Amino acid sequence: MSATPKMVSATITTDFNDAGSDRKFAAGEAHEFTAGEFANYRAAGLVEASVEKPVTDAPSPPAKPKRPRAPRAAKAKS
Amino acid sequence: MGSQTAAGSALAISAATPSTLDATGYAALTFTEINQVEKLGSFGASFAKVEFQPLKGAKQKYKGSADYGALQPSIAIDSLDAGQTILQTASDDETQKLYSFRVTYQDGAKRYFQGRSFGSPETADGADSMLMATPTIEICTKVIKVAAA
Repeated sequence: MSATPKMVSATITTDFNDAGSDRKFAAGEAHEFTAGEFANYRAAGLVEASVEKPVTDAPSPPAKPKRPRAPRAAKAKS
Repeated sequence: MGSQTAAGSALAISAATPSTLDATGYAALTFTEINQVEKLGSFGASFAKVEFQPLKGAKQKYKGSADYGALQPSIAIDSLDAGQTILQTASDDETQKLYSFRVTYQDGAKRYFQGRSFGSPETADGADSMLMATPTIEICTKVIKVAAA
């Protein structure tokens, strides 16, 4: 039984092709690579690890109510 | 397979190093193929010749230090190719980092080794020729030969 390879989420930083797998990648796309593929592509500056936003269970605090603005005092004309 | 042509041979590179310098160690690595290779050239170990000429008798010859040789492929430059980009990174690398290489022959036989690229000069020849790169990959470990399955 073979273990499932560990996958790494990555963002493509520049267009490139992989001749071995015949795949094409475009800058800005998100892809999942095996750890080995990712290490090779990252060494060449072709990808960077995707940064995922931390997920929290706590709801975000409610926004503060806006205080009504006092009308500006009219400037006295000289 | 007995004799075979060079057609279908491939060169691949990995930024990783194997845990063991044998077929199992190299097979565990992920390699990225280098596209547009025209020729691989010759590679393999050779030994320095140590000679001694005694006053009496024939010249004696001994095997000295091993030199694992160098690979000098000629490659049509493809700036979009991942394998070529990794090889260029290896050429620009100013550290002593070793990169792993795999040569695959037509019948599936493999040659594994580690090396350092000592530069990748580009050649812009006549109008009817491709822009070529001719990197020099100095082989720093024994070449591991794996027969076709």
